[in-house]
Amino acid sequence: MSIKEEFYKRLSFFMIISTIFISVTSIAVVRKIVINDMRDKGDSIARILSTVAKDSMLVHDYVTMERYVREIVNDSNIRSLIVTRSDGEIIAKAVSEETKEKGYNLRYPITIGESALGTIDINFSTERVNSISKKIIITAVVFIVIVHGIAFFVNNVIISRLIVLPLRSFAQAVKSLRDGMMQARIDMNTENEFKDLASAFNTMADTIEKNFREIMEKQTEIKAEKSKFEAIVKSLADGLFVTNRDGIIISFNHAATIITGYSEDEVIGKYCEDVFKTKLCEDACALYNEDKIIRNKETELISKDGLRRMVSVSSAIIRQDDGKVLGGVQTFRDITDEKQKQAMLCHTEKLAAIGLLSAGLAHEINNPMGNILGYAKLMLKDHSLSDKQRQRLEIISEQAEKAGTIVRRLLNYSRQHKPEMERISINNLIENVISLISLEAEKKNIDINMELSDLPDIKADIKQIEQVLFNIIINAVQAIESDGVITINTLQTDSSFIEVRIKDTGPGIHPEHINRIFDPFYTTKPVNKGTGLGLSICMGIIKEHNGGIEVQSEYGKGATFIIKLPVWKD
Amino acid sequence: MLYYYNKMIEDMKQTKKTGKLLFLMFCIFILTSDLALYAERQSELIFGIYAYDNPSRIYQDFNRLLQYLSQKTGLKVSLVIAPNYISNIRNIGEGKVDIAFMGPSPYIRVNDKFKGVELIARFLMRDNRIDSMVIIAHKESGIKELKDIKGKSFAFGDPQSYGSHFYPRYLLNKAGVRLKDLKYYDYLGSHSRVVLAVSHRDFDAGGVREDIYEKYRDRPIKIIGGPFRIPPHVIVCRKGLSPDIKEKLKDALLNLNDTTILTSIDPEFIGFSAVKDSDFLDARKVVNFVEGR
Repeated sequence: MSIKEEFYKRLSFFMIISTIFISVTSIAVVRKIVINDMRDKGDSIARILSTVAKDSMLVHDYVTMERYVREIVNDSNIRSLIVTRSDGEIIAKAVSEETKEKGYNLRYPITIGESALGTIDINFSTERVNSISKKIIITAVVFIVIVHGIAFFVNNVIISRLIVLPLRSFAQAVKSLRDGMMQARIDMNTENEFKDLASAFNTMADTIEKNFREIMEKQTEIKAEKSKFEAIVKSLADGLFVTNRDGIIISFNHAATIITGYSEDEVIGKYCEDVFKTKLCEDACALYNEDKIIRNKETELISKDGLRRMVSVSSAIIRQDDGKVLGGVQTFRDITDEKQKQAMLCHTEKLAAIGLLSAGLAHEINNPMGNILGYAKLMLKDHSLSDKQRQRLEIISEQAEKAGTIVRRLLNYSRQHKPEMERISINNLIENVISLISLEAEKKNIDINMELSDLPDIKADIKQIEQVLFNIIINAVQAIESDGVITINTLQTDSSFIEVRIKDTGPGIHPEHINRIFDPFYTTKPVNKGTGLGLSICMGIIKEHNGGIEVQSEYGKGATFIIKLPVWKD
Repeated sequence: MLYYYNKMIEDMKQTKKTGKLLFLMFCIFILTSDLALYAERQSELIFGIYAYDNPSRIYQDFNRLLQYLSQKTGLKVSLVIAPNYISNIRNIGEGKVDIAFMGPSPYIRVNDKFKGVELIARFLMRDNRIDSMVIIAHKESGIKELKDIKGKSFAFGDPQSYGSHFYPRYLLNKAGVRLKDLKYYDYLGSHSRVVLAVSHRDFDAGGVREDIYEKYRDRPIKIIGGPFRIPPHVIVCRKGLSPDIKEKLKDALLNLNDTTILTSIDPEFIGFSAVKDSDFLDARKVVNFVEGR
């Protein structure tokens, strides 16, 4: 409720109560006065009438008395007037009206000397008293209405001018200050307490403005520092996240987003361990490790896309000046690729060693094996050989050829000479290879579907790529026992590469084998069915073409080989 | 006046000039006074009546009639209320009032004592009540007929009243009750006083006009004699009143049928009619009988 309403309410209440009190008091006083007045008047009338009655009785003129009595009753508040003779005879009587009202009674004697001639009984009506009371009440009501009018006027004019308007000025000034208008001041022209208050307010506003400006300057400095810090944090190549002392992430830089896949908004306010879903926090956060400073701790996290990433984390505690722990700051670097490269390098070196060893071994075995095969062939030309001998020599020759094939492949693998690049159509090459394999596929009731897109020519050694395609597709045919489908589709992944996908409905590759199928001599085929060099050679050829080869397989549901090759560029 | 006159003579002796002037002024004053009085007599009619009730009440009752007569005659009409019957008789007889309302015996008296008074009209009341009188007694007086009044008290109205004095005396006499046979008697001045005095047992019986009795019939009174026919109440004019005014008055009264004017005098009053002196022959005999002539 506003001051105006409150004042109006209280003023009205006070005035109404005052008016009611005055009215009630007035009614009581006036009633007393009027009743006394009536008594005096009645006394006077009775005295006069007593004289008239006396004369009337003495001269037997009751007409005049009746007339007086009637006139008195008609023209006064006397309700009834009875003149009674001493013998009880009513000699004049007038009653103005019959009502239940009791009224006031007055009796006056009619005497002559000491003899009583009779009495005069006067009954006064209280109507006049009630009428006056009603008039007072009506006046009071009118007064209340006028008082309300005055209160309204006072409220609207005086209170508004003296109190409400100054208060509004204050409210406006306070609002302006609150809204940041620091120059807001109150100009009070009145010479009362509000002027002192306005002066005090203006002094306070000066102080606030001064302090505000200082704060703003400090804030600007802090903002600049913060921007600088944020720029540094953002520009950090390493990921950075800061936690409060409860382990809740309160800052997360852009590099961290790139590494983890989580945006800043997604992680702010969350616990460290809930975000990374690994033991990263336990392993590499100083906050979790008794305030130890941690440097380059290798651990792992799970990125937003569910991949496990290797990271190197450094962490330290953030403290206040008084040593109280505020939180922890962690920087981390993605070392997944680095680790993979390291593994690859080890693997490549291992393969190179195997290759060198194999080449040396093959070279040493090739000559003796050639002699064995040559002598076996020569001995088979001898017609004196028994059948048994001939049979045994044929086995030696056959086995020597097999050993020669292995050696030759080994030599091919180890030699892997540079491809002779030319402009070829991969789709045509695929169709050629399929024509070679289709007979084998039909035997096993395998459908070969080709979904070949319009592709640019590629830059490749046609013989080597043909060898790769043949090797992979024949593997797919061999993988399917019977009744299956091989789907081959080609597509352009970007302006530089095309992709050939060879998908079969075979049993797929067991997860424990999938990372090793491109290693030399690694085979899952039965003995004498494969050398374990085919896919290893394919990988070598594709790499020589600056392409890539990978396999995707869900065990039991087939496998897909994806070959990427560079587009021919003029 | 004599004092002022002597003073003027003395002043005249002191300064002749001043004296002459004052004498001239005196002569002018005397002359203009007479002329003004003469003019006033011509422009006003005075209506005389006796105080049969409170004067203020009588004035109130007759006010409308006076206005009516003023309108009809073109003259201002004033009311003079005489304190009693005799004063009213004297006023009309001596020409102090121009017209007067009176009962039978006052008319007989003024006609006998002051020659030249003329009848204008008579009052007419419903059931002719104003033209009859009754002998009343208190209900508990034990009086049943006129002869029972012997030894009782009796109230008369005015001594000049026909209905409340002459005729009751005549009736009492006829019933064998003389004044000396009464316990006591008194003249109360009006019919109304007689009725109330009897009703309050100041007197055992009394004689009043019937219309007055009717007004108080709720009181503890009863009729023990009558009603008896009495001559009418009349309006008369003084000797020497202008015939023109007389005719206008007669014409106005005989043609008055405005009930508001009539009922303001008495609710039972219904108008005026012509009247003649011969209507009072019996009344004269009664008055003469009572007065022992």
